Amino acid sequence: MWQSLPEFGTVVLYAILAAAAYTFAVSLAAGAGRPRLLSAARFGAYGTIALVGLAVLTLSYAFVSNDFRLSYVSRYSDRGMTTAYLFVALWGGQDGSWLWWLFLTSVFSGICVRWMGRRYLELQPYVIATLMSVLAFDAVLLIFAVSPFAVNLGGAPLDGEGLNFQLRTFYMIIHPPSLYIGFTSCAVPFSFCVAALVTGRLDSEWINATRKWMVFSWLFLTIGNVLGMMWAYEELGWGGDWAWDPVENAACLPWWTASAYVHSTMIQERRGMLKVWNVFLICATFWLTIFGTFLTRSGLISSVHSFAKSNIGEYFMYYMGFVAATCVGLIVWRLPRLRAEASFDNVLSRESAFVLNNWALLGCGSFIAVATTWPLFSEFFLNYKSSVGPTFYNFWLPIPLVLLFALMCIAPLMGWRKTSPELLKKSFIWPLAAMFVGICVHFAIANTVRMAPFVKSPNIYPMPDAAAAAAMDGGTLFASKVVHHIGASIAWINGKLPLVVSALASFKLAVVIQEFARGVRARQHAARAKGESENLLLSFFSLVAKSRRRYGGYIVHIGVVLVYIHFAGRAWATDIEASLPLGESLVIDEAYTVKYVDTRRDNDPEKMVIISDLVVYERGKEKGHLFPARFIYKNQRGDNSTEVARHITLRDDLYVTMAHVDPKTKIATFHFHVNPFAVFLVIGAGIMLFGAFISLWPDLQQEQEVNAFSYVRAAVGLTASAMFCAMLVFFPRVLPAPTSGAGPPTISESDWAPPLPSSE
Amino acid sequence: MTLRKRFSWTGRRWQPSPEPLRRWIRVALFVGAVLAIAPTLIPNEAIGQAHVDKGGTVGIQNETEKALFFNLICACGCPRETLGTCTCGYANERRDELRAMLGQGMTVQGIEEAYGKRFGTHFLALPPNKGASRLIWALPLVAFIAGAFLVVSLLRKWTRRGQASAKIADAAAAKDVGEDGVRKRDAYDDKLDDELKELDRE
Repeated sequence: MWQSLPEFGTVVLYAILAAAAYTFAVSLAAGAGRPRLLSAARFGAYGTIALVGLAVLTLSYAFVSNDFRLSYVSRYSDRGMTTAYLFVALWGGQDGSWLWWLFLTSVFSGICVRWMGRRYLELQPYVIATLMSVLAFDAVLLIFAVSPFAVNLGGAPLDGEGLNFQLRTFYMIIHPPSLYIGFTSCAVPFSFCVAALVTGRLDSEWINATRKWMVFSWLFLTIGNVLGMMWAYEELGWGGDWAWDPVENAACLPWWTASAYVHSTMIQERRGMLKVWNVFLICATFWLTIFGTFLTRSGLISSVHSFAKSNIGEYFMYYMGFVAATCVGLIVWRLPRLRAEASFDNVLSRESAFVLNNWALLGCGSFIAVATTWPLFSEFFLNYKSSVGPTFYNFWLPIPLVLLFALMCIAPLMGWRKTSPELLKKSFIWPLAAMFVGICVHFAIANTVRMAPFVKSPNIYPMPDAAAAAAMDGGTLFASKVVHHIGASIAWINGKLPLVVSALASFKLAVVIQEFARGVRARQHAARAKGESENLLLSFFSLVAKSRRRYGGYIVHIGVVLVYIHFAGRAWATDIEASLPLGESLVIDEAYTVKYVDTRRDNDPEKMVIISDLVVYERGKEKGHLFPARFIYKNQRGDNSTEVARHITLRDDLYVTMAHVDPKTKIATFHFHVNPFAVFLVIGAGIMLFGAFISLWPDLQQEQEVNAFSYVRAAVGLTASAMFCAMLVFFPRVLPAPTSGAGPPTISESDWAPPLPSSE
Repeated sequence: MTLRKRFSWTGRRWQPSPEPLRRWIRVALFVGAVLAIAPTLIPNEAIGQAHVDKGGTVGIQNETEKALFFNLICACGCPRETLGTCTCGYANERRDELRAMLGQGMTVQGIEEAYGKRFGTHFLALPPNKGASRLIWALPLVAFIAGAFLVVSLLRKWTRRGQASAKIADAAAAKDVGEDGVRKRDAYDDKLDDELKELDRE
């Protein structure tokens, strides 16, 4: 059989398509009045999933056995790669990653089918049918567009090209799988939504089921995006972690709708309202996962991340059209049953705050979506090729993002149904006081900590210069001037946002502390009323344990605050490029002095290493050595890479790359970036993960909870925690100073290799 | 005690009792903690190192250059890198040319226009402030503001509807009061209504 592995793999792909199609048909028949077929549908789903597993195993076998007959294997592996990286190569390219995608979707389909058991009997056939339709689409793509089992037409090469060295990092091992988990798991809530719409069972049953899955998807979308940011920070070397690259944007789009749903679903659960909106959000989230994949994989928009340009865009266009039409059709059909069961009592209520929060989330998401797709829109409709760089996003988006932050701060202070003026006053007084203190403290220590409350923000729409103005007619000139003034206003506001963020962060932290304090106090009062005593710690833990979803959510919000502070930190960042002779020092951002000590060269079987040695002093005190380096690989492509070195503290991240070294004079050019609060991204994401973990933890007191989700949640929580802890452990930190005799040997000038090859 | 004894298997579904489950969760937590801590015990010298596939310098000398370079995309083939960050030799040549143009007294807008004409408009990182290109920010901005109006008007509408319903409910409650001033409906009726409503939802 292994003599014809490519054919075997292809046959398995066809078998997946046939099994998915069969299960789809049987599921529909079960839903259409033949319930006995439901068992057949369940078995069909398991069979399809088993076949997908077989396909993945087949490709894995091809990788470990260096079967270079397969084009995919020869392009993404070589004989020297370790087993771990051979595993990474499974999703290192277009074809294999799509198989991995299919695999994850099928795993979630299997978990879902198993989890449903004897519940949701009316919904089950349509849930399974929808999941199978997704698997069938994936299989069609694999068979007709991106088959990982396609063979090299010229025969098997002696060795493969190997995995790109940018992909041989820890982050690439865990970033794509976690993002893919977030993307693919969205298929489950979408399937429930479709099933509820088809059957008309639009009560609380399906919403309860999907909320848990959606929080799960949201969690992994968050982890995946954060890991992607960390990869970009480490790999792309420009000193930041979010460059508004189309692929980054596409990956975060479903996050906005998923976040909106996680909030708005509470209104439906409590009040039976916003049914249409919740259905829309679930459909939109699923659709955006396809859309993001389409942008990444079609190669229509150039990006530092995207796969090679391919013809799969057409398939995606049809599929996106089909999904959108189906969703819209079903929603319109079921509109009479999606009417609200209740109405708002008061505008000053948590329901209103959540609706406004949804508006801001969707607004930010829409802005990003329009700007990301603008090059396509512009070329297609305006016949004008264009690009949208980070300058545009960094100019327009801070205000809506801070508005969203403000709404996030206020919402928990509102009561359900109605907030009385007394409650409003009582709730706001301490957070407002904290905000005032935060502002005062910021002003007081601004100079000491080198964080000005206000910064200068440029207007990206300058007034037309004389030559341009002369070429414009009156109307165009007037419009340009108006836009310039709008831009000036936005720039003025943007310049004030660092202080606004620190003020809102103080407010929000006070809100969360206040909510916890109130809860603890209420528990202690209740205990006292019963004649019992409860210590503070016990009250605190009992409070969280009794209302995990609520307090887990508050913990997530603390993480979000830290992420906001991380982004605000860019306002105080310093970027310097400097050429230094041996022994020379450079002062960076007042606090740091960097002394260039040496540059050495070393060789190993894989690469030549040029490594510089810098001593870092913080306020005159030696903190350690940094070793920015360049690796020149001895592979077929002659890859070379620059290695980032970082000195990380809670406040700053001193990020250094070595751009160039003159081999004769040893004069080296370095890029230095001081990024305030860089580490807050990891801490914030960790706290968000912890909060989501608490929210997802099953309630052991409720039998239904125990039966339904305990194992899945425990597994998910543990997996996520283990992944993130591993990431924290591996998170780059400054290397210790070498002890005597350690490290690469110093070499004389005559030992230098010829000038370093240019990066071009 | 074996696993099978702790859990009862009825039909197709496990039905664990909370106590053993709690024990299993503790075990799972312990395993998770071990998994999380284990990597710290493995020495890893490569920590703090990551790959960037290019060397070279940028050499921005003033704010004008910064504003200009970050608005132009390098045409070397590296996707979407601006001249403000791209360190390849091709980008260096372009920057030198642009510096010379600034030295000749050309404005930033003039240079951007010339760059767009030479390499194509898709090498400008910022859509120009003219004509339909303004839709890129106007569309979402209008949608954002229109969304705000829509949300506020919907909230007001729903609140009005809620208040009207409350009035009707109050009137109905008033009708329930008999001539002797005693309410015909009692708490039992309300509870029954609530339970029936819950039942409908299920």
